Amino acid sequence: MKKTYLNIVFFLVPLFLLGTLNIINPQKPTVSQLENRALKTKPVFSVQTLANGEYFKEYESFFADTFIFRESLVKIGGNIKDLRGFPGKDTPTIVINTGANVSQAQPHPKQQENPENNIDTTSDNSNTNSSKNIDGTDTNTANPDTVNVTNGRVLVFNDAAMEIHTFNAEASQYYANFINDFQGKLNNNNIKVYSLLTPTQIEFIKDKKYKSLSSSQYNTIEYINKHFNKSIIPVNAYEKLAQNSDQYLYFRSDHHWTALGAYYAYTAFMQTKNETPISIDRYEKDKVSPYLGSLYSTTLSKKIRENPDTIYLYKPFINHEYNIYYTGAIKMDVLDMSQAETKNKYGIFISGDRPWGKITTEIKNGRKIVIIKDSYANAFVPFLIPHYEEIYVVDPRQFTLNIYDFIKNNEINEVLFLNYILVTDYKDFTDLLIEMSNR
Amino acid sequence: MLLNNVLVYYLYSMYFQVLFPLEAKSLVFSSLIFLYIFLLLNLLIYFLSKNQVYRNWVLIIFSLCFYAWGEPVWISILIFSALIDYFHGLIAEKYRGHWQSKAALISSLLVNLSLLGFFKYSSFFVQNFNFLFGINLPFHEFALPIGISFYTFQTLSYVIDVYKGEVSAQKSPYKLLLFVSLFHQLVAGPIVRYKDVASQIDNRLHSLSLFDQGIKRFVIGLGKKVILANTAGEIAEVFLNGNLSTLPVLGAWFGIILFALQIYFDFSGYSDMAIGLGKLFGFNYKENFNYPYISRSATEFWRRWHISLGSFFRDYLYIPLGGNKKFHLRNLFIVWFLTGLWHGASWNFVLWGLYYGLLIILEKTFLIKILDKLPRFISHFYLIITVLIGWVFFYYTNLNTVLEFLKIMFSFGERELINTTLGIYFFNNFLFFVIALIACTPILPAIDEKITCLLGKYIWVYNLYDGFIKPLLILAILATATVLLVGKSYNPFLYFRF
Repeated sequence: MKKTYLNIVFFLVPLFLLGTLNIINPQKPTVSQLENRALKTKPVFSVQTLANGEYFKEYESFFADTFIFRESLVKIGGNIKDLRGFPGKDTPTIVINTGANVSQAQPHPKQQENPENNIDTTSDNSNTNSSKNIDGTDTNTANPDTVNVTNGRVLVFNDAAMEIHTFNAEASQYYANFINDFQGKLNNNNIKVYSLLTPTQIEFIKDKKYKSLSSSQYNTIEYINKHFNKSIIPVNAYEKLAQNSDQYLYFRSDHHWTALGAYYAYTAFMQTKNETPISIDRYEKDKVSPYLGSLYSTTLSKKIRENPDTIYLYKPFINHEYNIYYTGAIKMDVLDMSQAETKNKYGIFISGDRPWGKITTEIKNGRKIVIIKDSYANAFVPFLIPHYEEIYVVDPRQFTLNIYDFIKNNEINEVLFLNYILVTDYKDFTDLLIEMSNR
Repeated sequence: MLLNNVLVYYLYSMYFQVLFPLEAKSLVFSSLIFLYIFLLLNLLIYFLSKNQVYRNWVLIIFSLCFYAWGEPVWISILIFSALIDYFHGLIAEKYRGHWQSKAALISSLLVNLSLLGFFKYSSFFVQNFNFLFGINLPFHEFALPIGISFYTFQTLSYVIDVYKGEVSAQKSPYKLLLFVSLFHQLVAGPIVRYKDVASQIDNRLHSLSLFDQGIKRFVIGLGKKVILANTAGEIAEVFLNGNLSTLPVLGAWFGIILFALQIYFDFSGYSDMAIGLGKLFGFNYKENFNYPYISRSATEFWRRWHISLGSFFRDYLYIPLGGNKKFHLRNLFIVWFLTGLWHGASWNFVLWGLYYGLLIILEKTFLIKILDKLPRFISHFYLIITVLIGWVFFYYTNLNTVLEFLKIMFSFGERELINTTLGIYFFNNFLFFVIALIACTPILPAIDEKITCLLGKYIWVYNLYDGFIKPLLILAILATATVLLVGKSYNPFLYFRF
């Protein structure tokens, strides 16, 4: 029998083709939009890095990160993973996601893509390592190898991906205690302190079996509220969201809520304050689609890819001015449509996470609020415009001032802590809050 | 228990680090850069060099680069070990039958075992010593030089064999260095004995047919590692590293079965790749695995699992100690104690080794006779359960965790049997699970043989099958492995998690 040597051909040809293509590929990408991170850059050769093994290690990561056709191959890999289960059957899956307990400022890809936009004020700001991160020279925030990484779990249920919450009694108390301390240190009982913890999508899925993967968020919120002292006013957003859970309150491809979800939380806040919320019908609507958010990046789920999200926007009708602050003021739109061009479209809301921002409205009622928040608040803040003269938005991940002085100097008379429930799964976010108030 | 808690992760044996690279320290076969740059260049330059001497140098240089990938300084120890055993070999041969020869042997034993002891076990010993006597001797934890567990054994076997006159000493230092540094088996075995490859260092036959087989073998190993072992490991981790207090009984079994699959495919995949690479460059290495999970006793399991290690301990330790002729129990104890310790400088590995020693003694005294009489499925079942229990010792370095996990495995009735997470993982990986189980048995080769036999009558169909369809399957494995390796670099980074 004649022997063919097709193995040799089938092995050497792809090896040779992919090998040479990778070497000659002149346009190595530096940023992955899909992963929302900077790719490894070619390491700089030095005798020292060669001797301690860093050089080749870095080179290997660079090679893998910039492999030819990488994004297509990654997607094919995702499809291969779908084949592992029962043939032809669709069951929910759990995906482990990697996040970082980053205590530094978060990079914001947008700043690199639109250098004309506020780059002057940010580039010399030591606290904003965004531009450094994206070109990979500063790996602190963008490189999961070097920061304290936590593994979260994401449930893919039908065409929606959702984070799984794990109750952590110690971390929950830690969060409550911080807010108690904070209120005490304000040393001013005229300043009202509110806490709004937002539940996430998994709390409202109908299937009991899959819902049970996540600890009850209702219980976690109750637990934390119980640990607040009497001066802290909890806002019951849970009930409003639960009542309307058949509506489009959460993105399916992203871990955030939609503006509509934020609106219901806003009505709960108004109710707590004995005020009448503005009807949603007063707002002119706009939409941006398609949107594939962070949890699509995590899961690469085909079903989500085929059913992307739509971002609905409710345009403020009260005149206002919005500035964000790194060192100086930068004028921004509360609904920053330039973000619609990027992958991270949730950044439209108050132009994403900034160290701090300030909205000044034409409502001259003397009421001033500061929202100390994670990114859930971004969709929420625009609804407050009709009610306040000044709205301050503080992101503890990047804020560098003393928060008590900040409140005193700006004569703020309300504080709202607005975060999503998963910040109580770990102590890290509270640590950032503590750091911010010890400055 | 305390002893265990103080041990740190990088004290694990090299072998363990290869399986679970907390910090990749050398180049690994299952990486994109190895496949598409290193191997490609190595093959090109090797086959462009016409003469055997050049080719040997090409292999040495590539091997040293492979080794230097992570930590270039440790090359010095590798070269030192090769060089000193080169002289040991010469002396052992020249003065064969005289005291000098024995002195060379003892010196080689001392040097190699000290190297291994110093780098791999010194902090383990000092910490135990400190604990026992309540003192506080200082110690330094070294990052383990990669492959040291393998190459010290290989050079040792060389000197012993020369001493015994089973092979003549290598006169050329560079050829001995080639044997010691050859990157195919340097990092994760098999443990190759000099006498098995001595003639191939000087004369290697290269043929298309051997090259073809080498590719087949290498790609199958790559598939085992990247497609099967990595996936199994990813799932096993969810159950083994998660919160044990909520782990259901079957979750524990599922997790440890997946770990058993992971470690087998990882290790045997590495051996396959080494054997395949050997063939590409004209070397023939012995088999290291022979479907261990189809065994029917622990004794049989160790004849099929990591064969080169078992036979090393048998030939160079067990038999010289007296084998089953004198001090049989003592000999078995020493061999299994050291087999365990070789896997890592931690008590859980020692217990794992002794556990097998005990099983083998029990089998030798009476169990094997009973097992042989029982129906096959019962003896298979016995072996699988004992191996899985063994892997619990292997997986957890902390002995408290070992006991906790074993308790979960056998808490039928007292504990939740399954939970939603297990259900999700089971259904989502069902097909993978079936394929992996089939791949640990000789079913696929048997099917292949059947088909070959059936098609024998129809030459052109057979040629289509053997010459086209099978290579196509190999290509599919290569492509899948590449895609999954690229996918491994996929690291969506979620800023939202503070």
